[in-house]
Amino acid sequence: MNYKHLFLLFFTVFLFNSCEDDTDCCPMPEEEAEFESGIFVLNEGNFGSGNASVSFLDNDMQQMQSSIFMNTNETGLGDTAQSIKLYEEFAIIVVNVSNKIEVVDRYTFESRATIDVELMNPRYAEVVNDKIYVSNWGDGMDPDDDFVAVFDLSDFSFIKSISVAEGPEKVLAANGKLFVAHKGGFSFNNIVSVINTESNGVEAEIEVGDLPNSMVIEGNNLWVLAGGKPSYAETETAGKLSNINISNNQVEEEFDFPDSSLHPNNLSLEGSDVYLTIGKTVYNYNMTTMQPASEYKLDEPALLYGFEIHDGRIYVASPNADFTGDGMLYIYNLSNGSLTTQFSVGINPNGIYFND
Amino acid sequence: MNGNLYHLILIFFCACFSMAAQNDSINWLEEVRLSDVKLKQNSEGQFVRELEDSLIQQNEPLLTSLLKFNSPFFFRENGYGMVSSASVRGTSAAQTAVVWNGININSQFTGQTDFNTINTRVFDNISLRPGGGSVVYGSGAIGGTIHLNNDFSFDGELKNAVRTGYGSFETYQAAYNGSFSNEKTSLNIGVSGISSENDYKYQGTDKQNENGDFYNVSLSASLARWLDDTNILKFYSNYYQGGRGFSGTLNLPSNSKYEDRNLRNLLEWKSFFGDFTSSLKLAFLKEEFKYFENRDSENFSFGEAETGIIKYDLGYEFSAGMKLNFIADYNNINGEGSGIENAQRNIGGFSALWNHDLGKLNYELSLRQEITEIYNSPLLFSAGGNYYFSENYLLRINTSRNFRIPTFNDLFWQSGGNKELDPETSLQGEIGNEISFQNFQINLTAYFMDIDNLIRWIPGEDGMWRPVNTSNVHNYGLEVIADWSKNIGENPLRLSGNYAFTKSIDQETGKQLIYTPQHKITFSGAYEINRLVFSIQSIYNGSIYTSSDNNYELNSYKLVNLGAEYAFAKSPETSLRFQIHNIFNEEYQSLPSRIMPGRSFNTLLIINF
Repeated sequence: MNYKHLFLLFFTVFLFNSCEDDTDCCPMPEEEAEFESGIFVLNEGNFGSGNASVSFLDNDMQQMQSSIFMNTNETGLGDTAQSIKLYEEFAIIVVNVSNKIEVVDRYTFESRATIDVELMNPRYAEVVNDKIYVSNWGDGMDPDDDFVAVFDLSDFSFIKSISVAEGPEKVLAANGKLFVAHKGGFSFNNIVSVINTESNGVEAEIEVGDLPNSMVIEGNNLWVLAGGKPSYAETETAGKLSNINISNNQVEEEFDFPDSSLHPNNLSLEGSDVYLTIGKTVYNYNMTTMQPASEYKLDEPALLYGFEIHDGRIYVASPNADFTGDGMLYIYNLSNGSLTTQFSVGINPNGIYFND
Repeated sequence: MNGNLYHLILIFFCACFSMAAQNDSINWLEEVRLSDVKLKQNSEGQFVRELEDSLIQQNEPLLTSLLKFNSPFFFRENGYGMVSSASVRGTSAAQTAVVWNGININSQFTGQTDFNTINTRVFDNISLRPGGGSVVYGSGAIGGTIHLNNDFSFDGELKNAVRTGYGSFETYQAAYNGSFSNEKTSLNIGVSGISSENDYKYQGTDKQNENGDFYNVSLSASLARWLDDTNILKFYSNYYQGGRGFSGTLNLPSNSKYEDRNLRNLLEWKSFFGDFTSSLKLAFLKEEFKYFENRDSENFSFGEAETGIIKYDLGYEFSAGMKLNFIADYNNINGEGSGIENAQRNIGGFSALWNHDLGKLNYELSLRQEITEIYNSPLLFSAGGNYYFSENYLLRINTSRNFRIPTFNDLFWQSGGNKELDPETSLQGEIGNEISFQNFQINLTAYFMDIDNLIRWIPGEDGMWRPVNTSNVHNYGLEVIADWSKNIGENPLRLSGNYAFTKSIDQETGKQLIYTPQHKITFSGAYEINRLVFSIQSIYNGSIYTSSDNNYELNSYKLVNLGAEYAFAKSPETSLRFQIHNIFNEEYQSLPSRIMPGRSFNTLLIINF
């Protein structure tokens, strides 16, 4: 072995390592709007290890930047990041285990505020009427302490805690109301609760399928996809798609999936097409016939932990199968399901957010 | 089928061999004194390290603390006193069997033993047998076995010892051991307890360990009584009760609590007739735990398992140095708990052991077949031998097939439990060298293990986690265990050390398994000057990967403990010990974000009477 090469090898290894570990060594150029347009990937990290992070992919899809929260703010994001809500100039990052919300500038990622009061097991955030609404499970074992916390967007102060049914998960604003899908937390639930953002009270609870996991708005209609109870439940149930009229909170249509072993997820609207996933297969539904028009299986991801359809592409965030180490972002062509490109991201990526 | 075969052979042997009446009191001695005779008699080809009572008593009463500093095994600890599991030769936590007086006591739910729930002070000796030769102990004996033993003596002596101590983080400990015997009866009693606030500072931060308080109490009694000249009854009982707050991590506060209780009872009737030795064992084990996510609430999840064991062992000695044993056993295990309903399994097992001592060469062959309705069990075997080249050099060779059965959680867990699982199986071989001179002994072992069908919980396409038989791992490495003693003037000096080099490579990725250090070194020494004993214990743990892609790792660490003991009274024999742990105040984590204590102190008063 040539010693010079060995030395070079050591040198590069050392250099590489030191750059990765040392956040001070490569200062970010002071540039305005560094993250002006591109894709954020939220990496939840390992439970209990405080290594959540955000990766950023520029719109030209050339380079993935890792740990942009840490690099910009010189502090870690926290433990088990759950979701991001992009609203106006803000990126509102819900960090589940740390029981906090990091609010950053969505274009520079500089910290604007940290909300760490009146949160317990926070999940998802939404903004309505300049107020931030955050779903919380409370104590996971306690079915009766779940709530939606309300904060003022102008000064991030706490306004109110709204008690809701068990397991509030995804939240969606429409028509000045907040729709909260109750998956059930550690248990199972089957409702969407409607919060009146004027009175900040629950104005309705709408029964949908078991374990509602995704919601989309189309005009005056809220489509709620419920996955159904899994096989280990007492009775396994099929998924269900419900169409809710948001002006009167009534379910107008319901579509049951034919087999109780079918557990759909990731309802998405792209133009006039509806997409959802079952397992690792993506189905394109025709809204009028409710028959799958096309389907393809995504082989590369270990699982669809984060899933988005955007501008003719499918984005999948996938951890490693054992949930350790760096996960992947896979980007597929929506029309034929072929893999366009892929990137290594942070630990256990769970969500993809488009900054445009 | 195999079972029937064994049965036939068993009957054949019983019928055909005359019962030559010939008392062999030398062989009896071990049979009577030891609870786990197989450990002594069936370890050709493998090294057994016995940790004596004195070493046990020198260390903290938690099994992790004892073995961390006195074995090549690696421990994964969630914090001082918290959940702790062992990795022997790079294997997983469930691939090491913990054996209490000859009975495998790994949890039915997790398949492993939490080494911080074993209070060491109630055992007379603890033996370590790295490697797979222990097929007779059944599931989990892939990486090795760890034996907790209570022994008997009939010397008529009356011995009592009381220990009481106090240390940092409000740690209190107390223990009593007594043994009473006459020619016919022997009784040993041990009681030991430890409790700690365990609120140590997280070094390098402004935080401290919260919710890490723990206590445990262990009671042990063992009684042996000769019924007549050739029949002896032995009874062993051990009760353990512990309560712990599970401390959080650096990032994750915790308010949880874990309570566990274990009850173990074993009755053995041993008889000697001619060249036959017969042993009938009845055992009853009970394990239960309650986990409170929030210790202030009444909500908890739980698990309970009861195990009944009948074991019959018939040994026949053909002539001096040739011995055959047949063992038939039946295990009935019932469990229930949160997420687990009516878990039950019945396991029948047949083993045959052949032992042959040819003077310079000893060898041993063993076979074991288990039969159960839930999964297929492979035929386990072990073949090993020793050859004494000279009085200074001994060569050992061993090869074995071992397995680890799926746990109750793997099989019956409501969300994901997989009844289609096969056991993990391993095929392994090792070569050991023992070089010994008067004051010096070194054991050097190289091993290779091919472990198949590793059970791992991974998320399926639907996102649901299920255990599957997935990977194939090759473990290989080197183990060095050395001891040296010398008198400097009148004063004895004893040194010992361990080194383990461990490769544990996932065959699919080519990467080292997570939480498995490549290097571990321990060194300890004691120097006695009259009534004063100085001691040192130290350990080096190499870095471990925390992710399967080996992109993330946890740093290596070094720990040094110092101790001094002074015997200040002869009657009763009384001494006082003072110890400093982690004297260099090393900041270290055994698992990610689980900060371990910095420098701490403890004192112990010991009275023997």
